[in-house]
Amino acid sequence: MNNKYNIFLLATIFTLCIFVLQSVEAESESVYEIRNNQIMEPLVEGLPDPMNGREIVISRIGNCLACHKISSIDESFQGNIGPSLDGVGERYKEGELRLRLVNPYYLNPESLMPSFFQNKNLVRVEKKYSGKTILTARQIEDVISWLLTLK
Amino acid sequence: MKFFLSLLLFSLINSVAGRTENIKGINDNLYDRPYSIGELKSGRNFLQKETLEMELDDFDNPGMIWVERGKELFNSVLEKNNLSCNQCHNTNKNSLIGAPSNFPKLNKDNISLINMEQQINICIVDYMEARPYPLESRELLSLSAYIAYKSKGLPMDIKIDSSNEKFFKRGKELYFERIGQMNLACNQCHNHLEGKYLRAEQISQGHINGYPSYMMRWGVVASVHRRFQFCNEQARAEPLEIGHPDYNALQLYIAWRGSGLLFESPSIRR
Ligand code: HEC
Ligand code: HEC
Ligand code: HEC
Repeated sequence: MNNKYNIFLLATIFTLCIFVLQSVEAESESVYEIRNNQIMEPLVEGLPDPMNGREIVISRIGNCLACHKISSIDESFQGNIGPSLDGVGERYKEGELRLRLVNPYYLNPESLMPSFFQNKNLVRVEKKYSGKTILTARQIEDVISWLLTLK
Repeated sequence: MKFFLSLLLFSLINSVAGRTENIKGINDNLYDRPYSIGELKSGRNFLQKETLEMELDDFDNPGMIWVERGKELFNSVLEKNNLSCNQCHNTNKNSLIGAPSNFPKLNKDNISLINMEQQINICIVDYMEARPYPLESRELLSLSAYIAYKSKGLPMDIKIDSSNEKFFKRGKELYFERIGQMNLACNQCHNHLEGKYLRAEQISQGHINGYPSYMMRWGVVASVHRRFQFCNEQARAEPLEIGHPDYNALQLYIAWRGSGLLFESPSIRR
């Protein structure tokens, strides 16, 4: 009787552990650390791919051109809600660009620039995007690596 | 240990990210109407020249097809009791001229707001004992566009008093609420970015004096609520149903915010 009870207890603790681990895994996308207005650590390991980053910036995946102008890109409809990204690789260090993509609200709580790495504390997200960040960690690293070539 | 530290870090970070309070304007006086240039402007001011010319010419304006169809419907008999709209609404009585300024208005039950399209359906069901038209249907928008057209050139004049202030407050709240995966509020674009470009589209003050409006991207006349849905989708926010009480509250706030503009339906928009 006692033994059975113990096994039951162990099983419950075990399931709970798995549950906690799983939910942390789901949230782990958003773990990062801000120091001196930068996020130094890449969001994922591995070599970034700047050409893939370029593709994300100009396509609807990142949709950066909706709000930003980049002169070197041949596309007639570019927005001007945010500043031009020309020379942005000169103005900012890698860690500063990462902060701007991951948490623009840190510098400007009213920022119109969306966080590309936020999947919580959002209201009425369209179902197909719910729980997802706009870009993945991998895609953000690729974008940063291309932005750094804009000099 | 490392695991718990990152958990702690994670919750700290999340409390910084994506704050929805601190939005410029939400705490201003309830009745402030902020525009970046300080001057009230119709969406018409932001159209390309060719589009504006098309809008101003009744022969070229494709929205006029809806108005004409609306006029026909208005004068024809609907089902059972042989009534047409114009038997109760004509130059002698209840002419409906200026009526768009009353909407969205408090329903007879005193507990909800209704917009023009919902009012038309109420007349159809209650007075004509006919079947209501689906919201956003051709017929309903044709009637709505025809009624709006009758008031073309008159000023929008939306009154807020104790009877509708509750809805007005809700509408204002919605207008300043950051929503969607892009975490954007209406005011961020329409109060602060007037004249700027979102891709190819120049941002206006976001008024509704031109609605129902002919939307070139869809090739049909659309209601105010359909336009709201589209702005919601652009922020990747879940759109509400057409006719939703929150859209009516939002419409009340936006109509009031644009009071003084002239009715311009059917306008033409991208
Ligand atoms: C909805 C509009 C919008 C979109 C989409 C957007 N941004 Fe921004 N971005 C802004 C605004 C506005 C600023 C100005 C800073 C602020 O308001 O916080 C900005 C600032 C920046 C900056 C800092 C520039 C500087 O000179 O200070 C960078 C870098 C940047 N954005 C990159 C991107 C990239 C890369 C993308 C696409 C993955 C993107 N943005 C998408 C609106 C946008
Ligand atoms: C039998 C008479 C009758 C018929 C038929 C009728 N209505 Fe009405 N209508 C009324 C009355 C009475 C009111 C005011 C009270 C109310 O809101 O129900 C009204 C109100 C309205 C209003 C709001 C006016 C305002 O100033 O707020 C509109 C718009 C309207 N009707 C449109 C229509 C349309 C379109 C039709 C045809 C599809 C129609 N009505 C058919 C009697 C009628
Ligand atoms: C990212 C910027 C952005 C946000 C956020 C936004 N809109 Fe818009 N809105 C636009 C653009 C661009 C247009 C089309 C050009 C124009 O007329 O302003 C538009 C058009 C409109 C129009 C039609 C104006 C006209 O004259 O035809 C209305 C009404 C409107 N928006 C309401 C809203 C409401 C309500 C919200 C919040 C739920 C909202 N918008 C959020 C960018 C935005």
